[in-house]
Amino acid sequence: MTARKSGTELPTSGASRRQFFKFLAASPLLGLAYQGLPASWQEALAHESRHRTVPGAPRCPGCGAEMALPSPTSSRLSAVQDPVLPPQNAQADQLNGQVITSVDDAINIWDFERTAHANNLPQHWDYLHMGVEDYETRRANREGFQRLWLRPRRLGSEPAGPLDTSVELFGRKWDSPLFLCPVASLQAYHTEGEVGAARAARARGILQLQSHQSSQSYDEISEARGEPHWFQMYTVEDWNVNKRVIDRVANAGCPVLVWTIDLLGGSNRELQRRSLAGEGLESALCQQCHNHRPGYQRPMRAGLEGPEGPRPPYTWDYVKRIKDASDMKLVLKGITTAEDAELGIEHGADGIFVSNHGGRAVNSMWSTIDALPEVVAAVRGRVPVMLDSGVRRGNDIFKALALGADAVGIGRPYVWGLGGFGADGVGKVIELILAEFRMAMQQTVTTTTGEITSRFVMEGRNPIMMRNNEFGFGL
Amino acid sequence: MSLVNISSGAGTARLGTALMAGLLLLSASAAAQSTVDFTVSGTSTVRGWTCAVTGTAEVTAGSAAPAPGFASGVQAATLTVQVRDFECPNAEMTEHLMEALKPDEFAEITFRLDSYEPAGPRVRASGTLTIHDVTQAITIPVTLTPGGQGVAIEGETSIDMTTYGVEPPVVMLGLMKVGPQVRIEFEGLIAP
Repeated sequence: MTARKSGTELPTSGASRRQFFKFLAASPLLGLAYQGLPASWQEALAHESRHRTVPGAPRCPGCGAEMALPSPTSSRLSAVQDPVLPPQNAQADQLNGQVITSVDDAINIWDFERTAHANNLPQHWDYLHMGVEDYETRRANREGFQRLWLRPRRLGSEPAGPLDTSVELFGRKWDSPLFLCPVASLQAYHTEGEVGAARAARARGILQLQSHQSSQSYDEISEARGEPHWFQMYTVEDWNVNKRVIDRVANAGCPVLVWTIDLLGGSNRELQRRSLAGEGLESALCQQCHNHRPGYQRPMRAGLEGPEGPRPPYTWDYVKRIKDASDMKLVLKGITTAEDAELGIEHGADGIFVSNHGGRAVNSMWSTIDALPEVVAAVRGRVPVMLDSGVRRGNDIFKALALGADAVGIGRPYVWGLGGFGADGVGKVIELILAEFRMAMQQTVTTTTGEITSRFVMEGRNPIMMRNNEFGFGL
Repeated sequence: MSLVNISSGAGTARLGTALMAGLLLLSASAAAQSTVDFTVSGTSTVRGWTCAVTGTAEVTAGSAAPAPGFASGVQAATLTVQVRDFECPNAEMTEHLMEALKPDEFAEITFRLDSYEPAGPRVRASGTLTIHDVTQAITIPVTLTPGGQGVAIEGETSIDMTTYGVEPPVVMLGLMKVGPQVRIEFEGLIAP
């Protein structure tokens, strides 16, 4: 994919600058011109004069005596080793993320990305990290947010009230619009799995969606949450199997069923195939250390045996079929067009989830933040609109709310936290992103999520890709 | 004063909890015994992990610097964890932990409080942690919250298990290795 080595630019330009000041420091004209130089040049020259191969300060071109340079105007010069170049470790870590040993050391979510990468089995990492084919959709998701610029208002006409980040979905109030997306097999990253994520989300009033492919059961997770939670379902051809899944979670009190419809045509997961080449799941590690033993089924896939049922085609009528199968609210996940949003609501959907599966379903997709406006326009406020894919910063939540989303989900970032530090890592990821979101609200003088409207964002011409995206990091 | 057992297999054990519990108990005039729940979390080359154990805290109140919930201070405190009691997410992990901690030889992990410095609701508890028959000095920040049922104790610390002579488990001929750093969290209620 992108693999631009942005880290090479700083040393190159910095080296040229240093060469210039080194030359200047050695110049016999320095003594005459020094006082007229800008302060930053004086600092650089003072630095270079200390590092000259000839010991001592520069000498007067007239008498040859040592020439003491005047003290620079900035007192920090004496405390900084190299005033010319920025501290390279911090610059590199800010650009790349940093492997950390404590959640307290995390500056942003990218530190968790690096830490999860360092602490997890390559095959597990590859599964989480992958985008399909050439990662164009993954990158588009980030670029979509980066193309949107904030348009803050600086001062309010009234004193700002207390910040209220809460939102309401289907009559239930949540402390923030941020929620945890369904991600498969969380115990692959930490033994605490979905239960660990549940504990972190519960403590912060965050909605969590359980994946159909979860490592732990609905009951285990809801016990950790202290209440029933939303469930994401993949359907199979046999309707009876789907009905048994629906009945299982409905009987457990699940209030909202989320049907994922963006994988019905399959996905070209090249990184996963490459990662599992050779023995794949038959390798000794897979066979001995976890669940891929003969006969293993994930908890929400197990115990669904029974008579076969009809195999209706996946048409819009299927939405009504699922909707009528229980009293749960039904959200359609994977909508990216106005037409599908309209049809979904027509056929009974109670919510629309704008998602491209985090770039894991179809390549060459436009970003969800790009798709959001036309979906919101089609929905016309009839049902809640949720969004995920590429959400990495508090500003992204703000931008999605500004364009009409009611709730905004993260997937990989909280799994990075889980993979690094279990529930503590998930909690820290949530806190970091929400702190950024609150800052965006404060910068725009918005005190409730309802006040965040499209007047606070504008479209820029080009995305700004700051992070080092080599190997797909930073997306 | 308090002792904490640490399971080696998965990672470090929670030592700090035991210490705090010991301090809290001191408010009662005689030694009192309470339970403290420890979780030990760490890394491996496969995934992160957490194991758990419940230990005991023995705290003797006495004439010492006041601490939250202990008006007359804490004279002595000991936290003790029985290595055999550690539970990991599955039997195999527990087995690896036991192989590393060798409970037949080193049955207990203990933290003994030597001194403490109150700082608001927190206390910096200094003492010794003994794991695998290796004793090291350690200081653990502990939060003490007096309540109707007793004094709640809570804290966390991190240790390198190799400094206690515990070899991080290596499983399946090195296919999976456990990282030496473990994070210990603890919480409990020191009954009066």
